[in-house]
Amino acid sequence: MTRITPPTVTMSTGSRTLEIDTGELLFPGLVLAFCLFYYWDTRALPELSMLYAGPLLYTTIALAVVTVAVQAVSVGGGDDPRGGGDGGVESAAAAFDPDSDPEADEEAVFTVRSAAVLIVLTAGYIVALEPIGFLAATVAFLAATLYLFGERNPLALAGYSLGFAIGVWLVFVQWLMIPL
Amino acid sequence: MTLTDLGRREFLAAGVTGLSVTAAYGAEAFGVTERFDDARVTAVVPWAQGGGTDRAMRITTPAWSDRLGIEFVVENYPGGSTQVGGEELYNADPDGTTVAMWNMPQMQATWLFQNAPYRMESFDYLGTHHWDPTMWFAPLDRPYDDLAEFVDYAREDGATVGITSAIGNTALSALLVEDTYDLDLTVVNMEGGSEVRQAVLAGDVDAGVNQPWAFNPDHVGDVLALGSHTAEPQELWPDTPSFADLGLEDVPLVEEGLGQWKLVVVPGGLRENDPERFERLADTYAAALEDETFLAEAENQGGLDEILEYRGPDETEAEVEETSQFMETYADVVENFIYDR
Amino acid sequence: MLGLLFPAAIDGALGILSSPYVLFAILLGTAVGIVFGAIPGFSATMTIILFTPVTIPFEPTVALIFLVSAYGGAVYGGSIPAILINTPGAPGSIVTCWDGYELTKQGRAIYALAVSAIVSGLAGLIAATFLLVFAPPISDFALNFGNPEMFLLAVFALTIIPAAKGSSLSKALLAGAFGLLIGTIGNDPQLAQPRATFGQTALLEGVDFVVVLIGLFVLAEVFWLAYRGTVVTGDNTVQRGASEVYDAARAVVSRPVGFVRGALIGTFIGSLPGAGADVANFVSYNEAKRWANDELADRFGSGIIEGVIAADSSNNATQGSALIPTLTLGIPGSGATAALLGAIALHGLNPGPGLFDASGDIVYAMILSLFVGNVLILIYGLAGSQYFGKLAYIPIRYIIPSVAVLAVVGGFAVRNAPVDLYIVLLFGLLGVLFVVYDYPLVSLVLGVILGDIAESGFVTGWLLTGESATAFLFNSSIAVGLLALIALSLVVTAVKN
Repeated sequence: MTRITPPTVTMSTGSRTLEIDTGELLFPGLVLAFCLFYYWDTRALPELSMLYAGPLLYTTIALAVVTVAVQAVSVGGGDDPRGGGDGGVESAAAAFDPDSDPEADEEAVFTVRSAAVLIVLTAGYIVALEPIGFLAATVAFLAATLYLFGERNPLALAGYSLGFAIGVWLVFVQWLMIPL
Repeated sequence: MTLTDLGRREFLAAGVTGLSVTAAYGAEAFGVTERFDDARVTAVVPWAQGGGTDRAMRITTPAWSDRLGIEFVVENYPGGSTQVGGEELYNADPDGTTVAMWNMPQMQATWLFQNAPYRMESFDYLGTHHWDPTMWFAPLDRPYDDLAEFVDYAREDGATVGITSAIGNTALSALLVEDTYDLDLTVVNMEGGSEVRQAVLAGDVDAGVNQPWAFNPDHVGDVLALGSHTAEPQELWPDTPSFADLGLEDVPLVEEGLGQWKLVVVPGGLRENDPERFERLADTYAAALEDETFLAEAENQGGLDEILEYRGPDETEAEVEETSQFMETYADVVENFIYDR
Repeated sequence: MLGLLFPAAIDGALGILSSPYVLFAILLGTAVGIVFGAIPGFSATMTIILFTPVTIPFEPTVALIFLVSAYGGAVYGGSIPAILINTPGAPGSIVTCWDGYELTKQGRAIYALAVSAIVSGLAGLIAATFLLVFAPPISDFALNFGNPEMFLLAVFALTIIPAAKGSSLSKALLAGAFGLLIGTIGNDPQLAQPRATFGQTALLEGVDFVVVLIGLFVLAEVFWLAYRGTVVTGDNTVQRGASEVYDAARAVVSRPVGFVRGALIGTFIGSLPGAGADVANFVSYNEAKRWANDELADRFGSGIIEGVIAADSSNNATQGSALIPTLTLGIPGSGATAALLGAIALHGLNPGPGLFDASGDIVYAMILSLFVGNVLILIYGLAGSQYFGKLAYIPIRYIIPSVAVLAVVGGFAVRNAPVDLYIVLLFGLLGVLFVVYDYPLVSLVLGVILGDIAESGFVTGWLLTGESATAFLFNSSIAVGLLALIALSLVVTAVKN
């Protein structure tokens, strides 16, 4: 399994069907949640503070609702609700599809699962930075990630993790005086 | 590769990595990785690089560092109308390794009208740096020549006034004039001295409130100087009447003079806990302001040397106290502006 | 002659350029750009973003010229792994793979790399000339923009992205509006009251857009790499020797039309907000194919040099022209120019219409440094592409953790605020979501960047025009023109959709 696709929920009332692509709900949903918080947080502010932010907030909410209606919901069924297909060229990832054959003989380290683990590791790294310190957290993160993506040589693991962490530490903490 | 072999390698890998992490943690825990030279003073500037406060700090630290024998690192913490830098200073240890250059009455506004967690007592005060009076400017093509005429003009038609920051000396000056003469001014925060200058030069506003040094004396002649919020005429901008000259004594704070102080502040407690270090910082700072290279540098910065005004720690504290008091006195003028629109 | 055209600032700029530090910054920046561009998974945007914190202690001139040089180098460098291992170093080099890698399979990697270096350098020079000629009048014109015009300009920049990119109108506008809303986090400009700061002091200043860029363009890319990996199909036999380089020079010289067409397409597309090297190389390749006779058109993709010329002349030309809106209006058209704008702001310069006026010498020095930088690309590329090429074989498992660490460290370094690390992570995740569901990343970034301009333009303009909608919208003929452009781009996109 290399790709997780959020389900499409189909509802039918009588002869009509209503399809909702739940994946397409993700971003508009996030935006709406943020707007709700924003509204709650700013409701007591003076008018002048919200002269611009107020109308912008309502515009954003309206656009989120429109996006849900246009992108996620389709009535009648049949058509692919995701318009445009894979036409995006925003990221090399979106447009560049490696041949599928060689992927099979690689030992399948590059998967949704490893991406998810990487995200968790990164989050853990960020949380750990303050309590356990930059060097220790960085060495641990580097080693864990290298291992995750298939590095098994113990010397390479430890050497690279330690070397890179110290290098970054020298540049940023010693030279640039970033109080990490 | 057999299974046991793989197992051993992984075991080795885990062991070596574990050891490096432990070593790294130990090194940090025992302070081996402290910055090699921790004898530095961090100079907090609550404004962005290139602003007036930043420039003033950066030309002062070299001379100060010479006398103190310790290097300075200027760090900018802009934002929140100086509250971000203020909290940085508030959270720093009072061990004499952190100083800040702040400006008044902006400083008081952060705890009076914003939600800053600190108060006047949260800090110790090393000394003042310079004082820049509040001054009103206008585009050349307007039908008024000084602030008294501007007041008459605004009484008829209302007027737009640009100020430099949300709640500071320029806002207060504009609101006090509006309040005293019962005018209907549209006070617009242009978010910075150079923006006010731009708006006045372009004729976007009927008047702009700023300080002469911040406005930049290179522009004498490009604009009309309406008046300075002082009793005596100021020295930096030629041929500008004071409010007193114009008979505008009804406006509060003319006698005391409303302007912008720049001062050097340290985290509270230093003076009490380590009076020796405090004295040394204060003395070297005072000496730095007399330094010749510093003075030459100040002259290059649009005549900053003309408005330098040093006060010692006690006098500075009294000045801070006084400013806090008048800001509290006129708090309702500011609050009316914020909430009654 | 230059002195006659642009008297004042050019002198200062030449003075800056003659400093040995600045020349060294160009030499080093170009090399650094090529090196990092050549590493698979490293785009020009990432290179600029990750090096921005490193430049903090340097003079603005040295720092910005270093970054501009690295930008050019990295766009060229991206073609190296595209040619050698069929993996574009950046989206702008996707098309380079199609013929470039075929040539590598035929043993002619050096030939392809040399052609790539020649057309990249020359196209860069052409675009830099356009920048030098067009930027000053545009920036002069932009000085007439008042507050309402600045607000409308920001709105226009957001509406033209879906028109230029061909993405969904509602998605692009939602992303842009969300970006603007993120831009309002922090103290409001009029009264300094906190908005949606989650109780974080650092957020009183707002969300720093360099932090957003690091999340969207660096961390998100790392997450993608972890899922996608790269396909390294190693050792091809490679013909070496000077004859390959000589052949390359002849190949370019004998195809001037293809090269100039690519450069002009790149220059044009690069100047549009929202479209950069990634769009330009597709368009240029398709045009090259369309102009070719049937027999040649069929052979595109089979390893012909016309394909490499079309791709690489267009992607490097986008750099110079993308700087036109960035430097004159403060509106970056792409991730890379947004990153550069972040660096400009970080070094205390004020991006926007006043930039040429206030910091003309630095800006002209940046522009003129492009001429030196592109000549260097040519030299470095011809002399050293096989050595830079070795970088293409760095295993991706080393790249992923290293870049992740640099993203985190860089995110912190921007303003020493721990909360920024969580913002980087959040926007990293958001970036993945954007790519999966085909939202334009540039819209979101541009929204955050333009937030301040839009807000102060709107509020100041609104108050000064007596709070009347008609007085605000019809403030000047420029405002009316911008309104018309906004309407036009909305209609175009709606029809396309």
